[in-house]
Amino acid sequence: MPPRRAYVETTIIADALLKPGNPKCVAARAALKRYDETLLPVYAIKEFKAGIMKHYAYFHEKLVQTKSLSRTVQVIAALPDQFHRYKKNTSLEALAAAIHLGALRPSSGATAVSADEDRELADRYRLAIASLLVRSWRKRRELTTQTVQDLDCYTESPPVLGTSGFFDLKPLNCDPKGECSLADALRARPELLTKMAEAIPSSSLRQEDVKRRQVLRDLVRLKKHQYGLTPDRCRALGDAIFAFFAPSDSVVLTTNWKDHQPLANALGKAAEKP
Amino acid sequence: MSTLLQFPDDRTKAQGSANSQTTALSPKRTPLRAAGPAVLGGVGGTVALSPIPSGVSYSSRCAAVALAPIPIDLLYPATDSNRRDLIEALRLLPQAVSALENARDALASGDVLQSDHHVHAVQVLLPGLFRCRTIGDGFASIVNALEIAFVNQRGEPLVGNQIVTALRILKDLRSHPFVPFDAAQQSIEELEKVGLRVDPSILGEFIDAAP
Repeated sequence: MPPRRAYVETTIIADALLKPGNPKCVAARAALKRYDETLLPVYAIKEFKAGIMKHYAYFHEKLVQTKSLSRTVQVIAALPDQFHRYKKNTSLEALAAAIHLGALRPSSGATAVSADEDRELADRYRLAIASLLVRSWRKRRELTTQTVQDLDCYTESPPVLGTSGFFDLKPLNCDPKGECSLADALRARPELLTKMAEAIPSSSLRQEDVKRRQVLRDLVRLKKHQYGLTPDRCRALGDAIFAFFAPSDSVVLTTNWKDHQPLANALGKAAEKP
Repeated sequence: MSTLLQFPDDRTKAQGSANSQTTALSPKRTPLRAAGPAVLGGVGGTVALSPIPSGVSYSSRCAAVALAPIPIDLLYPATDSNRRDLIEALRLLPQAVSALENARDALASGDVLQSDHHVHAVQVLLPGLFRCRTIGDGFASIVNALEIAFVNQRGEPLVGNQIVTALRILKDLRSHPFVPFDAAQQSIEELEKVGLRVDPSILGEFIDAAP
């Protein structure tokens, strides 16, 4: 029986590294152990930093700014809908849990938090998030058996906590000389790009689907000098990158199975969830 | 802080001069009581100053200087805003260290209940230590991680290597309270390596990885 190989997608490392104690973390880590080999492409690291890490850093930034956990939760809850990754309905739960942390002190109550306690909780969460971000970045390459497909156009710089108290996550994007370092490999297989474009439901009006389909088609339709693979376009390809570059004897391991499965299937590959 | 207990030349001279004149220390300066007799050689970490007669040898004078109470602000780069917190932390940390040493010893002798009792004593000190967080984010980060780890234990007693690791980290924090944030993360990783859960589990509930 050949070794089982998983090509690890961003959501898996996000769950495994940034959701400690959460069932999703347990599931992601257990899933990684199912395979003989787990391959983490640097593209996933890039998405990890530009995606969920950036959201955590924003949360951290709000705690620094407001010095209040309750105010931070309110600000997050009031964000427009496109910031869907912030779960808004858990704010009360979060506060309850936060109060629980402070409940070692007899003065703490489950219903009322004084201004001092609120500030202390903000500091606790600020420090916890900062610590988690730094440690998760350090562990990113330890999670899988291999890290593969380095990107010439991307520098893996660690998050830096500046003297201002805010995180500097730069660079979040590639800095290609000309265009994305994956462009030539993608252009070399136009038939695969077409298959993936066709696998995206034409009825889907989701912005990411529309953009991905467009970039896939334009890469096939237009010449290199007419249509460079810019960082924005590279990011728009997103899930398609994983389906395309996953070795044929591997499966794409993702929590976002619904989106990855049609793309992988279109290329005769498979996607699996934890 | 590798320079701990090393005086810059000018300060050493000033200290020596102060001793020789017996006027010694300003009463406003706080002696390093919390560092304990092991460092300073006296009960409670302070040593009474007495005049040094003329004709006393250089080495004797050095010994006298070594025994003198060291003003805390010579040892640490404390500012007005965090000096009070530093003094409080240096009062609490030895208590925490001592309690963890007791916990370690109790566990070694097979008394799990007594060991857990001593660990609770540490846990009770941690909120007070966290209130000393103006010392710095490295210090606060370690104390916070320890407190979260204890909460995440949900009453389960610490095992031997967890106690020893926490003890080592608190001892280190006592010696280096101004630990930089990045260096503090190494200590927190050590806690993780012995199975302590140092992150609040609620964090993962705020943000979803997938759309």
